[in-house]
Amino acid sequence: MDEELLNEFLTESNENLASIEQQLMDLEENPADMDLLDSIFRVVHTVKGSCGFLGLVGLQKTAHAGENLLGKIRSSKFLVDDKIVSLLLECTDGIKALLEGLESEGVEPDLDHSDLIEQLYLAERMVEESSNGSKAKSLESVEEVEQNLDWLGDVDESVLTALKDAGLLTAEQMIRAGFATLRNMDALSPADALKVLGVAKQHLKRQASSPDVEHQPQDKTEAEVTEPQAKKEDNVEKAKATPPEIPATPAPIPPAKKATAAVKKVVKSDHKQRPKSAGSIRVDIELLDSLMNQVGELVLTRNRLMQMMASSGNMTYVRVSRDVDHITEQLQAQLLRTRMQPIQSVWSNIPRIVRDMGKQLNKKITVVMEGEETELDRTILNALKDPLTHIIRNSCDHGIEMPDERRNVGKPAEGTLKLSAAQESGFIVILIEDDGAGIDAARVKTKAVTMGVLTEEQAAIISDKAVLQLIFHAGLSTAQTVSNLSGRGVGMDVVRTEIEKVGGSVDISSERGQGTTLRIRIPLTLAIISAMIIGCEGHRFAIPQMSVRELLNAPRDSSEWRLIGGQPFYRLRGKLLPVMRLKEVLEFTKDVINEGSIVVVDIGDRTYGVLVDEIFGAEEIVVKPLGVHFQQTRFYGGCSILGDGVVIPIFDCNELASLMKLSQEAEALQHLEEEEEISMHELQHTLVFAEGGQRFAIPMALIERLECFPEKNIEQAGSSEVLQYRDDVIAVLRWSSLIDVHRDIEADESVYGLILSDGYKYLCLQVEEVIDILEIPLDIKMASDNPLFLGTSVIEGIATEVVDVFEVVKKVDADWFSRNKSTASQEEEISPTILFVEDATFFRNLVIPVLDALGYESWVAKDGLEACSILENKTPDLILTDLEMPNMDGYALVDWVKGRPELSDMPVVALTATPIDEIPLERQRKFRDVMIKFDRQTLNEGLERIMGEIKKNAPVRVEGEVISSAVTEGA
Amino acid sequence: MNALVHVKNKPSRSDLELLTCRVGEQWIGLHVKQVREVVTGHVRTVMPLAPSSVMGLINLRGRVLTELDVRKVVGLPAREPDASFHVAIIESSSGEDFGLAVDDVGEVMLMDRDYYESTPSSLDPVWRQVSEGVLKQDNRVLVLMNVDRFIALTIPSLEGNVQNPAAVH
Repeated sequence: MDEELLNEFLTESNENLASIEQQLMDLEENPADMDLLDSIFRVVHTVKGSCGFLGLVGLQKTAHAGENLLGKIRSSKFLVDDKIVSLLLECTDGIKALLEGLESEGVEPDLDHSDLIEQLYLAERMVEESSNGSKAKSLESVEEVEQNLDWLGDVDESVLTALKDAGLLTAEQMIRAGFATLRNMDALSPADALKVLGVAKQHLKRQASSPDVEHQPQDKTEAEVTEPQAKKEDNVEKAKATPPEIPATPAPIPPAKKATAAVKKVVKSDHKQRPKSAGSIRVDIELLDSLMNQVGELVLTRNRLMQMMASSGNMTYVRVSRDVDHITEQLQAQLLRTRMQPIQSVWSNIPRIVRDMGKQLNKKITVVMEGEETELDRTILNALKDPLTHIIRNSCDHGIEMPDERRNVGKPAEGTLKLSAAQESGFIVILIEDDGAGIDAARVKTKAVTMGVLTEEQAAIISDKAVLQLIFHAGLSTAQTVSNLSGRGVGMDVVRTEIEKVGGSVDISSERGQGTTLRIRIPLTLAIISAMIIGCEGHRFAIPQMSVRELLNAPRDSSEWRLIGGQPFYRLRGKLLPVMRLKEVLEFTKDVINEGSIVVVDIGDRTYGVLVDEIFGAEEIVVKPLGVHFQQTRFYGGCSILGDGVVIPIFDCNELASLMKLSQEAEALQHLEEEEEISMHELQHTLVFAEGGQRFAIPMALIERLECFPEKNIEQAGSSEVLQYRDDVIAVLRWSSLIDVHRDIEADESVYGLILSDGYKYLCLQVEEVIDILEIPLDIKMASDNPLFLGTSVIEGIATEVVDVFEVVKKVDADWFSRNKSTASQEEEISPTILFVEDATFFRNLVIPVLDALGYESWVAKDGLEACSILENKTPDLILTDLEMPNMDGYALVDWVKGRPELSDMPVVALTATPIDEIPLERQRKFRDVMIKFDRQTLNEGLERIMGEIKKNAPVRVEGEVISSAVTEGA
Repeated sequence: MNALVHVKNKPSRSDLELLTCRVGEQWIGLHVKQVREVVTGHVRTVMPLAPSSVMGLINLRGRVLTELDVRKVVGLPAREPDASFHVAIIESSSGEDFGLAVDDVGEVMLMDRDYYESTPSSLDPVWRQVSEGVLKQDNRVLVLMNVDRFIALTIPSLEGNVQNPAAVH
């Protein structure tokens, strides 16, 4: 036996065992699924067989006991219950523990599983007894074939055939043939070969001790076995050294020890390495951490080098430093990747937790997972493990109701726990949703008041959403009874602390009777974060981008300033934003003028503004810890070193908020209610930029990133200009040339680039100056003759041309949107039709080209009423509708459609600007799907999916002309 | 930044070697094995609301260190804004390195045990807390500073209430 074999064994076993837990749970669901049982049996059997050959006694014992039980279940067609499944799960846990030890130590760990083995044995007896009398009968036809080799136990048919074809009919012959021969047989994987050898070996031993039990097989031919003579001798030698079958007496232990010692020796003499799973190596995480730090330093040094080289004016230097730049970037990116692991690695044990919880609580819970492949930094993953487990336990325990209760309120008896993970611009968002009872905000409030967390006055004005966040407050638990699983009132605060420790945030939303959703937002990696660099009294500070929602320009004379109880507020879209004057809280000065820029910080349960003097822009920074002196000043989350070598403190926005007095905020909340709210209708993020003294607005929908780089980064490629962006070269379009403004730009001058993307393609739109990103209603006051513009809107009192992104993109790539139209056959098909109901011209213009590009024919209605009148005459394949509309809104429309028998099957999809989780679930359910307006990708995919679903029963379509004449006219 | 004093390792005698520094009128001795180097003219980042002893953060070849003002700790008036000073980079037993700002750096000397005395009660109370003993020389008394005790004195939880931040703008 050699290291290679051990490696093979570990790899195979780990792969096999990875799926077994799930399979066992599936078996619990469908105990009659014989295929599933077979497959589980095979895994355990393979492990047992192989370790017999490798001399791994403890492992073999455990696996053997499991195999016996499984074998008995299989042969007697016993229907497993949850107790047996629990036992089998324990058995696989035991096997895994042994394998882990083996992998890390190189020798079998000393673990005592005798209790488990005893239990497995008892279960086996139980199964046997219950099936006595109804002995399973095997299929007659196969009987004969199987006869000769059935001592091999469960191996694939193909393996049996191959062995027979090779004339290897007895255990002796197989051992004589040796591993090499078996392994070279096409039908046998190395693991099969191992298994066959192991079993053969045991079989011989058994025959030796009780020769009368097994009949001697007929010797037919030995012809094929002559070739690899030398090798097989060798193997037989080795096979002899392996221990015999393990009758549970102390007798065979000495040989077993010898064998393990042999394993160790081989390992030591061959290489210094321990056996590992193939294809990857283990690296100490500390090594990676220190590499990461060094690369961080390299990035900083690189920045300095770049500055020096650029100022030297020597082109050779500049070129070399550019190479350094590029390599550093790649090095950094790749090193980050080495630390990434799929979130699956922490999720994998969740089904098991939920199952065990369900059993204990007598609840039925299914787990649904989405986005398991999402990758995260391993440090973060590890930190997430406990909070996740806690949240899951909470959901099972308190969230999901007992089956009877659920049935009474018309929900399926089985509760669902849904986990999903997705990447969202540098962050991972993890949602944990249950469809349980939800949280009673009123109860939380009462509790909070009793516990003194909230005063009566605060309780009177606090919003339900804010109340729910109190769940994370230490000492609050609304569970009526304290179970041994969760609900001791400690926990959610720990969950929050743990998540915040890795730079994440968590918030909770819940609807009575509908369920609870926890939303965890965490950075992809800890080591490097994107931060907004701000200035205050000549000091620079970094605010993690994660917490920054938007930036506002707040001049002294702005009419939006309010002073309530000494606390400044800034009125932002009808809401009062409490503003922390950084100068004041950092005690730079007492007399602060309300003037400067406001960084709007969102920390989950609340939003506040930080008034600063200056905003320098976003930068990727390497986070370094602060020393022992800053333990009390918790609003510093760490520090970093900027490109110029200066240390910069990083704020921890959660802690920073505590510098602002809460009572004032609560007091102010009261006033907030008094402020009349402007309609939040159709607000959208819009970027305003200037070129040649004129202002332009462009919706953020297609803008992936804002870049600022030196003009000289734009390179000439043929007749067009390009920019290196990430690992790609993307086309650069100059806004100035599109609107015929001429401007000379120095090579060293910094220019702004809006990186436009639809997920596959990128384009850089170079503009002169970025003014602001605003969340505003885009009311187009005046249509434009220029196809580049949708029209003119008034933004902050200034007439601003609203750019039609689609026209701009077409300038560069006329086929930008047509990547989905590739097959010729598609042209022959009649294009599916969509009735698109949208009141805002702007969105019509945004969505229609997408629909066109996807090959849909679109009919357009301005509101629900218009849609109804179209539907009375014609039937589209799908209705895509806005929710908020004058005359007749999306909800009324869908009700109308559902009320028409001929349209009852019509899929109606909502397209909305409101975050989906703010729409009540019962309203969402009216629609086939609810999609977010700004997300082109989701729209594309969602429509394609729904169209695919309805294509099967394609309705008879009335031919209709496109009613889209009103496209560019004012809303 | 210039490294003024490169401390060499003389393994046999380093236990007895001291680096002398002046703070106000007081000369102190730091164990050479705890001093990494002495730097001057560093760019420092002032940390608002930090403990009063903290002058700021400095970047020492990619490592961020907390710089502590010895004058402040022992209750001496603040330095003149343009007065020069030196920063001794020291190692504490916790593993964290600190910068100690002192007014002047003298020399590396061998500690003469004959002149070693236990801390006299006449010494200023703050010095007494961090002193391991004194060395009497011709015209001065050198306080042997226990670095760890000094650091402990500067940490807020042990220092008591956080005073006003070191307002160096």
